[in-house]
Amino acid sequence: MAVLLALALALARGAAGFDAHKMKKCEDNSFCRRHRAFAAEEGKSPEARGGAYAADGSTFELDAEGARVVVASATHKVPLELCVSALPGGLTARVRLRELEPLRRRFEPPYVLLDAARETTPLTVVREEAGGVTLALGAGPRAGQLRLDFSPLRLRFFAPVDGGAPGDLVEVASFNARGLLEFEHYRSRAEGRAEGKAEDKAETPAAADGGAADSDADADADAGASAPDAAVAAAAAPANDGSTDDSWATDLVWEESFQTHRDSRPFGPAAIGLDWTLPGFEHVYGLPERAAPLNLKNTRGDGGYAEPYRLYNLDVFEYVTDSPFGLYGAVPLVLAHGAAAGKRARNVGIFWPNPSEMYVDVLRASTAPAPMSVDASGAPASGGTAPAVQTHWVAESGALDVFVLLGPSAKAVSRQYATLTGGTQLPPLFALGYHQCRWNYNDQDDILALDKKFEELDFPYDVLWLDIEYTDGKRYFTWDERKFPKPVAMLDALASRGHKMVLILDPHIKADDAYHVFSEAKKAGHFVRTAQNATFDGWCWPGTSSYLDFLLPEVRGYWASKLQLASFSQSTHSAHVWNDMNEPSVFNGPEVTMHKDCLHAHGTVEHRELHNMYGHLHAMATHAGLIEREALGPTGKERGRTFILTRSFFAGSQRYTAVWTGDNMAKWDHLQASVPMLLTLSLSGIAFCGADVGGFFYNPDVELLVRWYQVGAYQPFFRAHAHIETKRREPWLFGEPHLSHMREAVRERYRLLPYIYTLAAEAALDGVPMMRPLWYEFEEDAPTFAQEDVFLLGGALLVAPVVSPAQTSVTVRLPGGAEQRWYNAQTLALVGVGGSTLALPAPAEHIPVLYRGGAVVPRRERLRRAASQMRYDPFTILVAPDNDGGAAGEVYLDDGETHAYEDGHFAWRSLSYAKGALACAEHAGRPRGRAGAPTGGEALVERVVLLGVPKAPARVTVALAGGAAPRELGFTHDPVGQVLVVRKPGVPIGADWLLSVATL
Amino acid sequence: MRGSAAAFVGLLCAAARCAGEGVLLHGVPPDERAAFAPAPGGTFACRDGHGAIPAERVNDDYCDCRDGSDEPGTSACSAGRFYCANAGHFSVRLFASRVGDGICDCCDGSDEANNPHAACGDTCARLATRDLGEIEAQATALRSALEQHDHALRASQQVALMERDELVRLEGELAHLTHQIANVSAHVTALEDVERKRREEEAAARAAEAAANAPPPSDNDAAEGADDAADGADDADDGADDGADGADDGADDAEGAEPSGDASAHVDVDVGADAEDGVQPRADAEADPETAIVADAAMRETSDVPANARAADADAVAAHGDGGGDGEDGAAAGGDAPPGKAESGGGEGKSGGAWFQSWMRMDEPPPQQAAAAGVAEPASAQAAGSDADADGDDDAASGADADAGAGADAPDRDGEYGDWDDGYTGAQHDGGDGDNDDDEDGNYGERDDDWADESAGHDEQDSPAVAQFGAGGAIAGIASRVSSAAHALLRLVDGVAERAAPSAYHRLRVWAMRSAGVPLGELHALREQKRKLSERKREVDDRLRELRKGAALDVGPEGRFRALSRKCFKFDAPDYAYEFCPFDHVSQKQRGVEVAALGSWADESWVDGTYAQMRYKGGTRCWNGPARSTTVTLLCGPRAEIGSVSEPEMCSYAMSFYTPAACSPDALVELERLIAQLRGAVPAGKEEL
Repeated sequence: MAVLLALALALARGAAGFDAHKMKKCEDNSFCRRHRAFAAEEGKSPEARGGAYAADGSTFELDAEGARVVVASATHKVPLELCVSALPGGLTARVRLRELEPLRRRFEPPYVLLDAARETTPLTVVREEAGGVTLALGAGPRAGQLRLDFSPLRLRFFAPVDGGAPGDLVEVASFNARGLLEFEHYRSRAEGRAEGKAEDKAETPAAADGGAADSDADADADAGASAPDAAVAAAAAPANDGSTDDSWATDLVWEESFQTHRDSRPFGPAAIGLDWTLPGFEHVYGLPERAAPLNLKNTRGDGGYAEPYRLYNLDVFEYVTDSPFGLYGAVPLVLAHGAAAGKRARNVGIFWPNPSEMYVDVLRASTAPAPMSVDASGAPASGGTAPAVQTHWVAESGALDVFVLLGPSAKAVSRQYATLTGGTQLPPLFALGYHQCRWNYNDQDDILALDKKFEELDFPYDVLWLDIEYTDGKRYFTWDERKFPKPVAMLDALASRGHKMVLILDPHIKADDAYHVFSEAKKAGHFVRTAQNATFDGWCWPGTSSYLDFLLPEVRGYWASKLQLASFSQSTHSAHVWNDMNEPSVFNGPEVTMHKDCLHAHGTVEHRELHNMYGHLHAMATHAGLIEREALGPTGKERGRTFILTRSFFAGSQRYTAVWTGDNMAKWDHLQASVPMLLTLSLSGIAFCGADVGGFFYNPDVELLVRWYQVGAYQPFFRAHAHIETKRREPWLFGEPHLSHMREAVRERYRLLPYIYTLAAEAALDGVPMMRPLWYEFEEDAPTFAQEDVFLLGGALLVAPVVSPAQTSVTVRLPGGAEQRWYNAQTLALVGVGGSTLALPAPAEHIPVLYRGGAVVPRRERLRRAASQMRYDPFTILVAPDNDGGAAGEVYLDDGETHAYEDGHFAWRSLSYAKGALACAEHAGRPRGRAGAPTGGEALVERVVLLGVPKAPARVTVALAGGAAPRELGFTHDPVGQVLVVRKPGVPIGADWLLSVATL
Repeated sequence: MRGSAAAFVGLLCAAARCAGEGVLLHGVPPDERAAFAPAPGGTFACRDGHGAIPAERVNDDYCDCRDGSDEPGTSACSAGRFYCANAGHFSVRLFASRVGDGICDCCDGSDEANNPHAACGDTCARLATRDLGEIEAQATALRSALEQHDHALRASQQVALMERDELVRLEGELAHLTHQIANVSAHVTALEDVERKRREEEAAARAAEAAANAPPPSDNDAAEGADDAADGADDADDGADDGADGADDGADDAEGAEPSGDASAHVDVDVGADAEDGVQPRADAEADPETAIVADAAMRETSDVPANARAADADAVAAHGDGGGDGEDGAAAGGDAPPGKAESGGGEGKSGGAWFQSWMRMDEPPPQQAAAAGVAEPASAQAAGSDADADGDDDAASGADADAGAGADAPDRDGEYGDWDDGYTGAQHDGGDGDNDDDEDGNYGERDDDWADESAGHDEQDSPAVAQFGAGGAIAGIASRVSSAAHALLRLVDGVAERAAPSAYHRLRVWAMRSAGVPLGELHALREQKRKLSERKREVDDRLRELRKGAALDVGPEGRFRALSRKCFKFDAPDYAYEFCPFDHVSQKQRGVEVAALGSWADESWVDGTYAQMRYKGGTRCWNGPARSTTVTLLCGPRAEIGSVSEPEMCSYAMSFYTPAACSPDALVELERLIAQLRGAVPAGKEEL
């Protein structure tokens, strides 16, 4: 029966598109249902709603770690401890609330937060008032503040005003302002019964789901029982006088079912609901992953979604665009950005690293109390009204542990978030090149033929990918020897020309005793177990499979060991890894994933508690394996960098892996949706992200494909991929001129690699995303706050995608003020200034791309087969001056392939242009490399391209620092485009020098 | 370090250290060197004519020319090309992107010569040794393939010729068959009509009689009367059967007497398969597997079909079993074939044929006889013998029929026959040039002209007209056997006359009515004839369709792949077996059973018109996917065979197919050039210097 059911499910996957009925809505989850119903009664007083939490001021205390106070609700009277602390710097606060005497220990996710997130700085009391206390979140005038109201419990967070006077603070976030806090303490079944006769009214208690095989029987039982249950519930309702307290309690269920799947929930309800109000804000972002607009729509009230944003990692088949439904990964991070007219921009982030299923409602209030402010005198001021964003969060289980990121700038929020979860792993340079993938390249001849074709066409690429079909019957770490008789020879053949491969390794392990990974892992007890403590099996690509329990260090160690060349002998150092299906995808499981009552870590953790970080743990284990494999790589490449791509992710996954947006479609709306999706990922710390170029499902027409290449070339992770049922779509299959258009898009990507690599280094360093929404760079330019049709690659490039057919231009409102210049990246001519709206030409050959006035962009114009071969190539420095004739940029340099940069083997150069002189020097605001270490800084500058130069200069000279005589340089000047090209400065990028343009 | 040094060399190339010719000409092919050696202090003109640069900027590692021509030896211009001499091996042109990238692309190492970080030794000699063996093996294989290629090409051309001939012949036959079927149908309708009315009349008469004789009428009597009538009909049927037997005997006799008797033996049997033997000599049976197929097709085409036609005609005649026609044929046979045979066939025929003739003469000479006689002339002596034999046999059979049925009624037949025979003989002498039709009586001539037009230009006039005549004769034969119910039929004259057209057939019909009765055996035979004609027409239609399709096929330049068009190839892969029938279809099989059609040939199935790839589309539709299709890539090989089958995208297959027909002599010339080069007689890349 299980087999048939799974088969039917598998077929259904292929047969139809996204089916909302197969997935839960808030209403289908009791915890979301009751908390959302609770929030709907907002008009009532917190007491009336049963949620009045208050702190006992007498218990307030400060210690080195932070402030503590005991909190309880009038209803539950279960003592909770509130702990508020701050990270060094005083701009990140942490709020925790926990049961003092829990029946069960709440799961606090390991491997999400960095150790740095646990560092604290002492809080100091700024002011004590009746019923509350105001605390400084650190020393110094730039630290944020917190005002704690005891009853009802409320926390207001104040951030320094960006660019304001020291001590100027403004309220940016408020906890429990709406009184929606509801902490469901662990309770016994008896207590639950006493509280609300919950069990009587809940769905029929039944034997917990024993796995897929039983689910049909369960479904029958449900069907039979549901009607009487409903009757009981209806009959019981009047007895409760309709009081909200009781209605709340009646929904505090243990077991519940969805379709044919039963969740035994043996530990009972343990959800946590809370609210954050973000006063003065109108724009909110974050909460990946879903196909939704960048600026999150309301989920309550008019004009938005009917459902809250869901964070529950699922293998969603053919997802629809413009939906609050959660996809493959989750980052529980909400960002708000705003700038009141005439005021400096404000940014705030709310981060709740809880990997259980979560829902977030967003509601904009047009007239809420205006944010309080504090001036240097310390006197709080309030009054008036302002818009606000109200958010209501509900997590099914786990801990209440929320971080507040106080900014105040957008980049500051990114850095604060990176302090908690880490920057992006610095990718090996090749990973930023072009990736060619398909499910599936059939055999090694197919792969070699592909490589040959790229060679013949002088079409650069770095990586060829193999999807699941390369394996022996979906047994990972094996090869189908018929199709790939000599995988090492294949890998080596590609590697001889500088190309890599990526092999897929999914977390499901085929249940086949003859398969060494299965038998070993089973023997060692490495698999996730059912609620009945049997090895869980579910259906995935190989058929019946078991799922490794990556929460356990020994299992991650085991997985890592499988990646070693001694074990995966038919692989090489040039084989990197793709982790797919790691939500995890279970074809016959509830919502195509694992049962929530499955058990991890020897039965100590329920799957529900860590679900959203399963993929994260998988990627983490893979990363460990590759790091170990590369620890002693081939000669001269010790500690080689690794590359992993994952579909599922959680906060912090950026430390290990790149992320792509999963199984999108070859449709224009998916091309369009890729931009806000990637911007959201980028803002949420997942900087190295991309969407399948061309669209995974269906066949793109050539126009869509070409446009997708043209957009994808400017997105961080650039991979073409296609479903097994689609036609081949390698660029040369479409003939000219399309081949040339795609190739040119790819070539331009490679020319920009020095710039893109520098952005990757910045993302690695402090979490500032590579791909940025306009407002991220133009924080006070209000029209950009909801803009998502255009994006920035770094600070210097504006990219205007073409996302509809037969389009020959893109109308773009240029961001910034009237002093902000923009130059056309194709013609290099000035096109306009900020605030103007222009129709930029978008011929078939390219999409509009602009250089920002004030930017310096390092490029390498020489064409190569692959990124690694560009390492010694000379640079072209493009200077796009601003209105004042100034510009600044930077370039990060290292070997591009090892971790030697961690030992200081890198150079971070600043390129600044002012008053007709371009100076190259060590970047003062960036880490310093070790003197004398190899960095690649020996590469010369072969060309400087200066934009906006109306007249030919008298002379151009370059002089190395240290008193060398200036050397005169040749140049060409184009008076029409106003472009000056300086010929062969010939100075190393790693040396300090000054290039001077003397006007007549 | 390596990058800086490489770039350094380039950047400083204008300086003394590397200003020599060696640098200027680095990466320049021999035939372009003149352009790259400007006088010191001179200028270099960009190759695209777009500007000129100082000479020292050539190969200075900075791209000055828009076309990249100033940097043949560096990677500075993305559009540039680098030339490696690769002495001892083959010179190559590389993309500029390969220069100084750390990868040894030239076996002489020249692409990395200025890259201090790459160590590319000279591997040309080693490569040459390796490649020489490989290329020589390739050349040997190609030589043998080319021999096969010529063979295959000839075979293809031969098939084309034979199929064209067959097509032309069958088109003639088809027109004729159409005409015949129309005639026979008309007769069947007429006879059925007559018979029905006769029976009605008879029944009415009996009823009237019964009513008059004995009131109240006896049911039994009436029934008896009906029975009697039925018995009479049965008798007539029996007679027809007997006649058929007789015909068989006659045929046997004729066969025995006939010197080249094959064709006659085929008359009563299914002809399609038989005629091969007789025609085999016309097909060139070749040893080559491809041509064997061709030969088979050729047989069907060239010999088969005429034989078919004759047999069908003969069938028709036999079925109708008329005397007149038989007599003529017998006479014709007597004229052209050895006497012994003519006697056996024609002699039998006379009994029926003469009888029929005698009646025809009484009434009016049937004009179609002249036409038939004229058309009946065989084109070739050899075929004529067969024709005559066949017809004679049939006639004999018919004659036997006629005898059995109503032979006794025929008066004066000998004399009449003699007259007729004279006339026939005269007509026959005019035959074969097509003019004979013009001589015909207007009544029939019009219709006959249609066929004559269609068959104009045929070099072989076979027996259709004879059969046609036979059909006409058959009616007469049937009519002649009508006797007992003549009085009843006579009453119907007026009714039938209304529809009568001024033709012999209608006159016959009138006569038949006068004879007042239709022999059921003959009606049966007539229907059988119609059935056989229709069957034959279907065969001809099918074959014509096939031939036309074949003729319309684009089988490549000089029709070089035509020989593949009649053959199928098999290929066993681990999971499936594949069958490929060029210009027809591809299919996937498992344990011998087709599991999926992988596509069929359609118009314009060549990919890009290069005759290198063919596409078979519209196969079995994939679940949730497209219809399967297959792209077949034709490759040169010594044998026609499938090389590989793969499925590069779901339900879209790729097959490589080897055939000598895809081999090009140019490739051999090229290989031989390479071999000469590798043998080191002339160091590669320097011969032009």
